[in-house]
Amino acid sequence: MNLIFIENGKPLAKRIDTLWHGFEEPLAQVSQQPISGSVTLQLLPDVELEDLRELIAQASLVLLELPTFTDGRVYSIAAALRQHYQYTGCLRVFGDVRQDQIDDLHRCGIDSFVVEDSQSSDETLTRFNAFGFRYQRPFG
Amino acid sequence: MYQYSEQDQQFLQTRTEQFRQQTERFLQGQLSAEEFQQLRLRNGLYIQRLAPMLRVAIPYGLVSADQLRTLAKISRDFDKGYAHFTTRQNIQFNWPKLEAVPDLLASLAACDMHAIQTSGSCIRNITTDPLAGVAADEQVDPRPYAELMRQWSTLHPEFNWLPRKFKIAITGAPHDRAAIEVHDIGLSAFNEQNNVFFRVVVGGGLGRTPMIGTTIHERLPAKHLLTYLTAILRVYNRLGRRDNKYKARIKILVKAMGEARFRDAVDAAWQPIKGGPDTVSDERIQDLMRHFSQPDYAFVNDADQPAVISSDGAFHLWRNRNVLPHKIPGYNAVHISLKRPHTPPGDVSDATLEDLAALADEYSFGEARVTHEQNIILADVETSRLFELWRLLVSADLATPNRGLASDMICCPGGDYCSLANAKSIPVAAEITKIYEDRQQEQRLGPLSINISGCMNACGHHHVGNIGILGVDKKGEEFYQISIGGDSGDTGNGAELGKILGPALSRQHIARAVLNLTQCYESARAEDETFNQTLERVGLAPFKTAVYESEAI
Repeated sequence: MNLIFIENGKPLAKRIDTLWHGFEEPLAQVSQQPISGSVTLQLLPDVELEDLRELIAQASLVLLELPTFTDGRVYSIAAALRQHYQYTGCLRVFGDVRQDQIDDLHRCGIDSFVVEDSQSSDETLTRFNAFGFRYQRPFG
Repeated sequence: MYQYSEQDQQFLQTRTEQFRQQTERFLQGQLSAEEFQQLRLRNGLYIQRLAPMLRVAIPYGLVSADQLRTLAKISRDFDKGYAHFTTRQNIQFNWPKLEAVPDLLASLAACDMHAIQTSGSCIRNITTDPLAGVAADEQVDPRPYAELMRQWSTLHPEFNWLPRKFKIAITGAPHDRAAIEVHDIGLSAFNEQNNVFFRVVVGGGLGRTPMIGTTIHERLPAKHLLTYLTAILRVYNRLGRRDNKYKARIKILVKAMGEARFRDAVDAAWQPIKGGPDTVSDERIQDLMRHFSQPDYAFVNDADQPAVISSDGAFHLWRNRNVLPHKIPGYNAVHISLKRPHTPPGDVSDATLEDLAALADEYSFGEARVTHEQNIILADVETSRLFELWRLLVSADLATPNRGLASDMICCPGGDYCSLANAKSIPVAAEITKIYEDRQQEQRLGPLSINISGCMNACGHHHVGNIGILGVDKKGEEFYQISIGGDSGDTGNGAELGKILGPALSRQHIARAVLNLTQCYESARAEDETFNQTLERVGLAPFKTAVYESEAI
């Protein structure tokens, strides 16, 4: 699989082996005990964020799944993480990620994208941020 | 008219170019049909029963004479020389070729028009009162707020993949001419000591589960409009059902959660962003207002203008019926009916679009409005010029004096065009038009709304018609279910859903049934009662008898 990530405002691509490439493995189970150090969270689309407030504050990577490209929940989860929870770590989306959606996902605060080969050509990267002007402010 | 800035224009060009590339990738097999479908829908393009259909937005119903001429040209260049005004202030072309759609969108963009988000599970065209800014009963001009929401909702990154389509309507007058209570979000603006507030209604809608919306905020200060909308949409996007498209609209979520829990969830989503960067300043609204061209009114009193004296009864009939009061003395809003015998409701030829453009230029500061009843309004006509305008309308076959009367039906394209329809609706409208060909009869009846939908998706708003007609399929045969007592809210008494009268009728009986209903009303009504008032007083029974126990059926 490929990871598209943004560096200095430009999208770049590289091969990766794990979804959490560059970070800790995700927590297998959410424990009641306090956890020390930074954590990686994998959140399902029906997650109740309010229950995870403390963990979110400790996370340095949050993995979000897009089950199908038409499922818009991940956009609002990302926006809420950035706006309500002031989450500043890495937000990475995986699943049915299509090249024509990367721009909007990015504008909702997601900064890295795990994609299939077909979705990460050089051409894909040039399509990123095609609009010079937007009506909305970014959440990132 | 809202005047586009350079940024607005650039944005449309980029969007058109983006869709051109997506179409090429699809045609070259680089984009799957499933994915392209979603992308084309968000650019207004459906693949219909007979051909593609492109729905073009007329934001909050305002259209310039030049834009009307562009629409006429597009109907010639890309279609068969006609177009169809919809029930949501949009216009549809029925025969464009897929490969030609990017060029069509470029022609639109060149005159500041687009088809963005006119379909798909996203925020649709914002609709409003067609008399915005001129209505005598208006408290707040909704146009700058409608434009604010147009900008906010256009390619909003977070709300492009909602559980289902999402419709927002706004009014600033006590007589709700925008049917806000049957929208996903309805906004009713009012003025208190020079401050603007909104009553926010959520979860109204028609379709297979019709509902009147629930008021979740009685008095939202205008500056919070966008953050509050964001909170509502965020709750819906997270919690709305995605497993069943018939249960995916926000009305189902509001009902499932209950009013109190839904309101609390919206509040919880609102608090962190309330007062944040999306707060709307007074300056922002004033700036938007400045982008609307202001008619150069002559400020003449009716009394100072030469009286229009004509012994032509047809002129007076038309004037009494189709000319509406204006908040500026000496001006009038002129209602042009697109419900003419022999023409499907809302359909216009390229020649008619050109006629309308010329009349808008000559009589109404180069601007026209589109109504959700599928008619046109010239909103700023001087009293002294009404007679000459009427004569021109007569020669263009646009002077049908039936505003709000029986033959002014709302009607979807139905089974003749739409692949969702269970039954045809245009021929039914034609048959009903025929029974009221005698204008005296419908004038005598007075205001009466007859709304026709070819399926339960309810594009013809049948639930809110005084008489609603719904096409249903019974073992491959077209039948029609009648409901009565609906109201879209324009009477000022709030919206009302019609009640089903009884078993569905076959096509051959439907026009006769409508006639029987109106005859029943006429004989039962007391003094100036409206259809719904009579119904409320006498109940459903006499109407049932009139339809189901009459000899003819």
